[in-house]
Amino acid sequence: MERKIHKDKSMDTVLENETREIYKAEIEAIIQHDPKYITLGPDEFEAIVSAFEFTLKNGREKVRAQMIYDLIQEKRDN
Amino acid sequence: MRLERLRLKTFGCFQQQDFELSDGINLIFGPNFSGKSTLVNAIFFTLTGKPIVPRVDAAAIKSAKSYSGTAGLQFVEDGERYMLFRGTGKRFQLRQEKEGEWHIVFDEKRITVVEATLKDKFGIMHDRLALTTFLREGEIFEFLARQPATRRDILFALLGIDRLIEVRERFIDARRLAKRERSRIQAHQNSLRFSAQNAHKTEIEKIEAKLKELETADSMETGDAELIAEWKQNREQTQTQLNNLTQERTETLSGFNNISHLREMMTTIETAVKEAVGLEKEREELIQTIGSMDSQIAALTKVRDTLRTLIENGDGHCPTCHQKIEQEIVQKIIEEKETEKSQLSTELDVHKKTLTEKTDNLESRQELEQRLRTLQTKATRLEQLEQDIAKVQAELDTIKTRLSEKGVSEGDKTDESFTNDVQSAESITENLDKRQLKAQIASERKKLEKLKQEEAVQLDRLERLQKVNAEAEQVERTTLSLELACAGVDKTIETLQRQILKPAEEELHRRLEQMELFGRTRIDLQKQHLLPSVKIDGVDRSLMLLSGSEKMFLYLCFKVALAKVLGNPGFFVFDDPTLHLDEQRKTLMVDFIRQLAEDHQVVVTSYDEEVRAGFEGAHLIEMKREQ
Repeated sequence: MERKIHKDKSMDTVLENETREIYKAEIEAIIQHDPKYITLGPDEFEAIVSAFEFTLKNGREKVRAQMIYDLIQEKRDN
Repeated sequence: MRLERLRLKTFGCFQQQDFELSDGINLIFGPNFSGKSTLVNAIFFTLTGKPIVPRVDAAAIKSAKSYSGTAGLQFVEDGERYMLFRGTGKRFQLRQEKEGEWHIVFDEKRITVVEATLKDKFGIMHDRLALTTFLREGEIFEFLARQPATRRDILFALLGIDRLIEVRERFIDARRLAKRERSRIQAHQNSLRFSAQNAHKTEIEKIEAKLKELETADSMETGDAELIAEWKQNREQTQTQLNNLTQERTETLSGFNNISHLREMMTTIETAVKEAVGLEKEREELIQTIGSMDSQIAALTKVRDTLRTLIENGDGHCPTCHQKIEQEIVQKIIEEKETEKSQLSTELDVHKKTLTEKTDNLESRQELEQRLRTLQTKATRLEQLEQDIAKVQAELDTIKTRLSEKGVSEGDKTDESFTNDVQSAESITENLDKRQLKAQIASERKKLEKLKQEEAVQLDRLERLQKVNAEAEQVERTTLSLELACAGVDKTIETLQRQILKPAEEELHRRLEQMELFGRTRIDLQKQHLLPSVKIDGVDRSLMLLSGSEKMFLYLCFKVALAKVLGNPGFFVFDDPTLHLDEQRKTLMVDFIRQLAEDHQVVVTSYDEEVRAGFEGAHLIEMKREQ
């Protein structure tokens, strides 16, 4: 994987998308291998990925732990 | 990026000097203290605003202080020619050549803005540039001496994983929050569960059974007649109580159908009162306006009367200034004053009328407020009455059920015969045992009533427990979700490291094999966070056991490998890479740099004549020591 960072100005977005896909795949793999998480459904999965995207995009300065907590709780409730 | 020229002004040991740079290899050659390293530093400083610090440490790079003086770097990027100036006081200026002339495209002092622009426009980030593009003298030894945690931080910053670390930190905080919430709910659950477990159901059943036995015993002793008479008496008393309460409720409602009807009326009044807010202020303003108008009218009347006196009683001259009075003009002024007064009077009448209306409205509002207070008192009393009625009704129902079990219908009243029966029973059973039995029954009833009240409270708790259980389940799932989210971030970091470091390992391996320095070598960058783990001819070798030159080659190859994986601006700058190398290894280094220069621009500094000879044909910048 060669990264010509200076050539591609939208690299951050590309990296974000790439990272999100890796994250999704990793979460799926964990769910399949660890029976502890078997009770979690697609709503929870979606909520986790959304929280990840949101935090990755906005950074530590803007995102509070309570926001992540609410995001997962609310999204699942909806 | 291709470097073309370096311009220095009062920078380090240089007053004002330009240095041309060409494609391929640029050899900065000269003795110690001639300014070779200053040139290397100047290139780095211009691009990053920082000097190359003597520690390969992201935090140290960030906190390092700037140089004084001004350095400028001319370069070509994507076919466009740029000149980048950086000076003391954080001044930064970027110029672009257009049709043979330089135009300023960016002039800024704010460091964050400058960094963002350079990153966005040219992909320049100082920490990445320090590790992938520049080799500072003696850097290798300091890098190897770093703690694993420091190297890990460098790696994360280089790979952009620091953002994921931030995500992980926030997720961990959120998980902590969820766990805290779970503990809180569990504690609540436990307290409610404990109360619920202590429910008095069994005890109530036991007392009821006992009471029944006692009542049976009592009825056997006294006969059902006395018991029934007592119940009947209770029923009548309770019925009277109920009637009184119902009567009071009807009186309190006084015209309203029910409490909802009453509340509707309260809401309507509340709305009307809210709408009437500000009436006092409006009325006050109106009174002031009227007062002011009254004064104006009085003043106008006075002026008019004075003028009239002047033309009616005088001799045609002003009594004060003795000038002749123009009667027509004075008459006209009088008429104007009359008209003005008349208009004001009309306006005053309107205001007075409005004032009367507002006063009426204000009084109405005060009445409404009084009415609202009365209704609120009524509503509170009605609620209390409803509760009391429900309670008394329940008592009455219990008594009726008991009587019904004994075959007594609702129509039966406590008549004289029953009273006689009671008296007769009393006279028969008037002994100590009976009194004890009665007392026991009363005591058990009291106990039962108390238990039933507690039971009601516990049932309420049970209901709350069910709600808390549902809440606990939700929080449990959220906690589990956040655990999964954290685990997912860890795995993602591992995967990204693997994905990026694997090709770096391969490139490093390839470079080392080309040099034929170690024989069959295996390199692992992932184990030790950037610190290469070396296996030579199947045997693990500690880096510390490698010679200085071997370490230098390994590190240089590692730098080039990282540059390939992470992206490189298109050039390398090596400050004295042949230091401490013997003749054979110097040749190897020269070959390595020549090979690298096939597809990169390279800037190398040296004081070694052998190196100079080795780079024959390269662009030479010869430096001299200032005397």
